Amino acid sequence: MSTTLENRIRVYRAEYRMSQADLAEKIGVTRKTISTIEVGRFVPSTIIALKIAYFFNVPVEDIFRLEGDNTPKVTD
Amino acid sequence: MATNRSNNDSPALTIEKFMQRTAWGIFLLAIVHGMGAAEFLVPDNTAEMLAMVGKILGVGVILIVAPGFYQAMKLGGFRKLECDHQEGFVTEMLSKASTMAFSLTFVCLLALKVIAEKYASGLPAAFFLNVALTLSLLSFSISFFVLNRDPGEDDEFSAEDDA
Repeated sequence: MSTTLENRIRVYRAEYRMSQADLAEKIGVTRKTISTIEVGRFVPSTIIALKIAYFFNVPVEDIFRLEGDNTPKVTD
Repeated sequence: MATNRSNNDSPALTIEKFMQRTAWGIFLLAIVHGMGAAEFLVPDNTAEMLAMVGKILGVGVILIVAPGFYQAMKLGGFRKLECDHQEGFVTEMLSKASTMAFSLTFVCLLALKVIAEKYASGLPAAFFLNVALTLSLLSFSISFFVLNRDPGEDDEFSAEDDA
């Protein structure tokens, strides 16, 4: 099973009544970048992911999550 | 929280528009080189016409790229824009298109070498250079356009959604 990056940007945008263009402007990217991240076509850089998380004031894991990842933890 | 403010002047959008204009410029440049190669295969009067069209398209390349360059300069130059701009989708697609074009150019050069030795030894080096440049620039611009196609309209959330 391949690993995919799931995100909840749309959920947070809905909560704050924001358009993709509004969010893009706030974090310094274009609407197309936000749009392609949301549909999973573009994997954002760590900086963009952190900026989105900072903007919504939540940990980055609340917005981005790895689906189908089998990487073992150090405690395993 | 939604705003109606346009981000037309944002550094990210300025860089994105510059990249898109550059890709169109490169596409036109590919056509110019394609016509440059064709000049060696057609009669003289047609070759002269192709050369003339090529010059007009060359001016077109400048007219396409220059406004994007001007906009970037107006916002403080590329160094400042790069500092303000995070690597977004279009930057990534430009990079992918470059890699694809490089690979295709390499294969094309190998194929041209074989063709030149076996079938077209009478043609000048300029012909093969033009063919290689055409394929390289064309593959870059077309792969950029395909990769960069718009995923769709903005989905705005408004107070009406609550109803």
